[in-house]
Amino acid sequence: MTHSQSPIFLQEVYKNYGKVRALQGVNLEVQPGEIFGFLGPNGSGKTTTIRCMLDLIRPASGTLRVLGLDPQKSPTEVRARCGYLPGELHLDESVSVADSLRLLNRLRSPQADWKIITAMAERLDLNLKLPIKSLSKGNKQKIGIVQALMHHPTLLLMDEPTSGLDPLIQQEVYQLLREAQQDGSTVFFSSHILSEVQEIAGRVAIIRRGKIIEIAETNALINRSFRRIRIAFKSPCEVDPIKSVPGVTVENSDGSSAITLRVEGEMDGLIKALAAYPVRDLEIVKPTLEEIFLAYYQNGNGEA
Amino acid sequence: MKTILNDTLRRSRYLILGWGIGFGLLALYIILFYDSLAEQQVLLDQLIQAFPRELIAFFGNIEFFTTPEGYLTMELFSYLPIILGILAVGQGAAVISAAEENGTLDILLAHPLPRRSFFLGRFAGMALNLAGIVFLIWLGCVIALNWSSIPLTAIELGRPFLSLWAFLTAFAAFATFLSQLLPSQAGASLTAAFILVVSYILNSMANIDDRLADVVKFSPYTYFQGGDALRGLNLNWLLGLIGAIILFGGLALWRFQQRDLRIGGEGGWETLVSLLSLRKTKSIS
Repeated sequence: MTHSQSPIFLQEVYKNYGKVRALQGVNLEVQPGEIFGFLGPNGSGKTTTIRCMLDLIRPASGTLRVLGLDPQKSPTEVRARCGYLPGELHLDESVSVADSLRLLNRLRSPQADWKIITAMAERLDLNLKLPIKSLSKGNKQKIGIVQALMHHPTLLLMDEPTSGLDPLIQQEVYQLLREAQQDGSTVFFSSHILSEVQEIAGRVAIIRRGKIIEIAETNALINRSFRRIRIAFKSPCEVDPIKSVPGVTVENSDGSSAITLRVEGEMDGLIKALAAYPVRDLEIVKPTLEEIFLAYYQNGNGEA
Repeated sequence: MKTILNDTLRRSRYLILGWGIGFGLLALYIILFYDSLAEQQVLLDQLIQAFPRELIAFFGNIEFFTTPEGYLTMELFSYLPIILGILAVGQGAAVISAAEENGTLDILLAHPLPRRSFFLGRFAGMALNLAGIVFLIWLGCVIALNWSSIPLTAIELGRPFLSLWAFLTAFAAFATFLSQLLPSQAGASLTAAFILVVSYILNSMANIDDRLADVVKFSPYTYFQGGDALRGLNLNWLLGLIGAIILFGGLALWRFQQRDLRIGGEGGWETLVSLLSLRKTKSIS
């Protein structure tokens, strides 16, 4: 498989809105069958990237391929094989849930089996008979999820998929995405909820101000990042020598009998320094993706 | 395209019935009232002669008020284009921009539906909405003819309504085109409505000021035939209006296929106000 035949392939993609540079040379490749998380704060370019993939907007320059196709040249072919959940889902409020799904289903050929739709709605606790205008944001989001998944797309593009959903339904959506992956679909979803990316994404890209600043396996990203270490001493000690170890900063100190450190890079220097201390307990805590994400922003990683 | 067309017609059924039946009943009442007025022909002629010329100008050629043509011109065709025209420009500007601004366009066009098919479905739906309203008004007139002495057939009565539909749809198509150029549906509606009203005033004033004769050739209102069509339809003018529908519709489609879709919430009245007040808006997400 060449790069351009990957489910998603972007090379030096630029997009401007007037003077606002929304995408500044985005490079991204997603492999078949993976669940890929796309992380970034509001306004970082996540939605713009996804909308370019479906030819809802056009990049100013660069190469963009979805399922090996150029979305500008073959928009309907791309969309036929994709399921899309927009970040802000708006539906015709004058109809029922069932009628809305019927309309969207009629836009596809072949159409999805209605039994699949009802089964999925049941799993998400979505009442098909209700008028859309009576639904909460979360229940509308369920419609978006059903319509994105109902035709077993090759590629799922989901912009903030669990927005507005309660925790139980969120878990059901994660399960649906895992099942889609098992059925051979590739899942690309944006989020600023890092816990969900951590829970289901095999790989993750972080975008900031229209630039990809990191692409990594989710676990590798967590593992290679800083660690938080809590150390309890048998007796009060002088901890200044520990503070001077390269890559070590003190986050919290409970007198001189316990200390919480943040360690970046190799652990070797710290372990050697601790050999001189009466250590009662030592706990290494891996950071959450959220902490890593914040670290990127606070440290200004990936800046031009 | 068929799915979008059916959806458009389904969503606008109450609009068609509301406007069509409302004006249809009014038209029925107006035609039934004709015989009573005709009996007062001498008095009415005297009354009309007493009107200021500037007022008469806005009703067209109403010196013949007591003839069926004159009566229908004054009572129906003098104001239908302007009232229904305002509705038409609103409908025209909404063809694409309404779904775009309320955010429903994203989800529809994320399906394997070419932009061309979506546009044509919505545009044809808009043209059929206007045809439905005009048809119901015509139907009201035709029903009333059964109890009126107006010597017109249903087909003769249909001619000005055909011209009315073409005029309304041409203005709606113009508004659709504007909606693809301007940043908001509201801006397109207001601009098209402004041109409609100016055109109406120009043509009215031309009735009392011959110097405007050359200017009104460029006014779209000139090519609406109204009561004059009862005596015979000017096919060139009708085809001209249909040509304008195709031209503006085609330009709007071309522009729609070229441009980025706005994200839901962009381009409403706030955008217009923002532009007018020269404030900057950002559109990044």
